[in-house]
Amino acid sequence: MRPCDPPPPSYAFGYHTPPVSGNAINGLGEAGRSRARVVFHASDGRPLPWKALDDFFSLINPWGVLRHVLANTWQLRRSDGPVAPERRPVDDPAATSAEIKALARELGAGLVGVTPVTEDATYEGRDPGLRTAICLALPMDRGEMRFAPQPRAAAEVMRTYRRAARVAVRLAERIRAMGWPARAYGNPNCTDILMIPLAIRAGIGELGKHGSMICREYGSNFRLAAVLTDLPLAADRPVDIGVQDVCAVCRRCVDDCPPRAIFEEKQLVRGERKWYVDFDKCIPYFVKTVGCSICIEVCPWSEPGRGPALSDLLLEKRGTSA
Amino acid sequence: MRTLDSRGGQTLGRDLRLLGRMALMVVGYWTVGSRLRRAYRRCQARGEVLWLDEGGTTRHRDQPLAR
Repeated sequence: MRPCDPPPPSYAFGYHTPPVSGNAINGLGEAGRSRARVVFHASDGRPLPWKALDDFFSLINPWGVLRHVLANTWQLRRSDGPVAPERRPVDDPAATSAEIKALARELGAGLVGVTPVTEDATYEGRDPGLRTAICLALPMDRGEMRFAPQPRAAAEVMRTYRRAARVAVRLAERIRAMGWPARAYGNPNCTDILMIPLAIRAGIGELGKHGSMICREYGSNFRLAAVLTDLPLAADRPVDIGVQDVCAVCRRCVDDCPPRAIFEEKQLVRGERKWYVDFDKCIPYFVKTVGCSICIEVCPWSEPGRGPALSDLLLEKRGTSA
Repeated sequence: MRTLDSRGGQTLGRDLRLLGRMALMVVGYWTVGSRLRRAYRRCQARGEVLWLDEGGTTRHRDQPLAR
């Protein structure tokens, strides 16, 4: 897929006095382990270093995108709520895990994974107070996402977030009805947790060169939501589908990124070497195009039907060369 | 399975407060937002920069957010 008529990376908006670099806030180059800090997008009233740009982004969104944000905000009012007084006992966390995953799929989730909530998957100063994350992935409509970076793709992104949050809200309600606390997280109420580290540990997929996740089933063409709970569940393991082998040599996202924001090599970020996208270059273009999404759509893994075959081939090749 | 969140009463106040905030968002989008979008389109057309941290515009330059 080629990007749909991408505008040049020049901007008719800017700061007289730019905020502190988003890369510094994100901990680029930091050798010590530390928790993530909020830099952009937070709906809980915390001061954001890049707030002016965030507000500008909200206000230049087309109505066709904003209406999904409003609908999502409305449905996420039920993200938390009262818990049934009678608690259903759990003797077999593995069986309960299978039951919850089946329920999540029945409610509309494409992929479901379970992982403990660890401190490095929560923002600095935040403690969600629940110990297990149920990660949910829902695919986006590839026919609509082919229009990235045009606003039509942004509408599909928000539509998918809306569907994902609906699944999370309903799943959380069902768990609370079992007598266990549960809270749904989706866009735009995801202010405590980092979805990607949780989803990677829950076995949904791997981190790609473009800083987004890649999974076997949908490539990068999906969105995440989560339910945090204290319901005892068996955790999943991270998966190796061959993404690191491909990203080490593939340059599609690097070459197709108009502002050249994607690093070719893994970077040291808060004590961990991983794929990273230059915030200060990416976000202005993201704002200009109200959501961009070029990198996730040009990714070879996002081509429908390619992921399983590519993964099988890579793992087989690795097996024969080992 | 009936969920507990379908109970009324205490949730009504919460829902009304949220509806109020959302109404403010919509009003802001169509008032402040309309003015901002017009100003932004004007800057785009003239090759100027809409400064986010204070009023006024100047000549267009590439990568205005770069430090």
